[in-house]
Amino acid sequence: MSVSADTTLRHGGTPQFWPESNSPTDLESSKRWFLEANKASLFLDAWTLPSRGFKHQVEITPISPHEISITTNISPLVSAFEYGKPFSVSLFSVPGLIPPEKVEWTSRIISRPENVWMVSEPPSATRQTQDTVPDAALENIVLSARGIRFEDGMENDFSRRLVHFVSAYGDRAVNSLNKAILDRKISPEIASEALTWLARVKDPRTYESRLRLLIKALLSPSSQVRDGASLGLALLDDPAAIPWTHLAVQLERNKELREDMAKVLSQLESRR
Amino acid sequence: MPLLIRKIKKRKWDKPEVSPGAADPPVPAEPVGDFCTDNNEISVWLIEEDKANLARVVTALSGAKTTNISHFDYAIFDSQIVLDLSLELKTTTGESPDDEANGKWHRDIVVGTADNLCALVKNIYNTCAKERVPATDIRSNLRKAIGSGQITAERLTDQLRKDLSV
Repeated sequence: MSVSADTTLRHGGTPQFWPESNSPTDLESSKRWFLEANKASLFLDAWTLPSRGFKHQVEITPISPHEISITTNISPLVSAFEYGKPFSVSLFSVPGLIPPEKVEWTSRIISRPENVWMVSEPPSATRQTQDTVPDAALENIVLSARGIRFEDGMENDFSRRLVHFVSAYGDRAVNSLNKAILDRKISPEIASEALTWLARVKDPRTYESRLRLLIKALLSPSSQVRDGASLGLALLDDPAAIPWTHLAVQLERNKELREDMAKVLSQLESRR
Repeated sequence: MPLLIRKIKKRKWDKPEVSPGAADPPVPAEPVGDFCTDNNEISVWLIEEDKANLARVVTALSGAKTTNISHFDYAIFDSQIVLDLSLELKTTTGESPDDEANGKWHRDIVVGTADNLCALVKNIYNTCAKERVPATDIRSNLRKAIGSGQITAERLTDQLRKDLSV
């Protein structure tokens, strides 16, 4: 599935999904408008495994010229990511981790000035993270990373705190990291470091949520973050990540990173 | 001409793709961060022209001061770059857990000034090959090196020994 919209700058630098005078009023007209847009700048793509025979549904509802709502049975709705133009949002299911047929996610994409787009958290994810203690703890951990020169394979104050954080707060910690990394609240270098250390946490309770975050981060706009995700998946060495690593290799535009990801894919495939 | 290697963070060295015939893009500042000086010198390792010692040096470096098994990224470049910049390449003892490698192949490039450092990094950035050894290979190579006596397990950090189960 692929739809597109004009996201040119209007009204003092705030990007719009459609002109105010021509706002679609229902789902069908919004889809038509998307498909007819001349300057294709927004793409919504759904990725599912053909072999699973899973039928995905994506509903787009206009809320205002600056905001659309997406309801999908593909879970979860991942963070917005941009490759300059076109702006792109991907939705994907994670086989074996969440039964997609049983989950419905609703998120809103909201335009902001400076051509920045935000994807709101799915309500179910918000419910899981109502406790803000892990968020505050994570902020402190990120602060501790300032001034640290990260060296591959070398523990540091940040990594020690991060591993302890995930062990102490479990899935709530992973949810906080999920928000911080995918919403780009922390720098790509710190996010990348966090992803590789996340793979080293010895905690079966959080294994699935950590694997899911690593898979999602493969589609980050930052090559450093995508690399960290790929390295983390290599450390987990779980063949469950094969389809998503395969997809990431196909989508990767950075030639050198694509080659590195392809090596990770070969490693995972050799485990089957 | 022998080659030299230096551990890097590979992603910081990615080059943007340029159209054929276009001028080389400017060298980003990030790679300079992988060339920390000690007493105005840069630590590098000499690799023979046929790369016969490459795997051994990489294994030795991957076990140096590390606490966990990890991938290993490095830049490999022609030692002629150092000569072209009229910089001194002196033999010094390395600090890896492989004593033979430390004595035979460790070198220091005497950069002296920030200008020389930037010129060196710029030339390396434009000409080097960047490689990544996966963590799975590092694990098996370290185990083999310990088994063959190239690396003494006691020279590794406690955490790394635990990670390697040795």
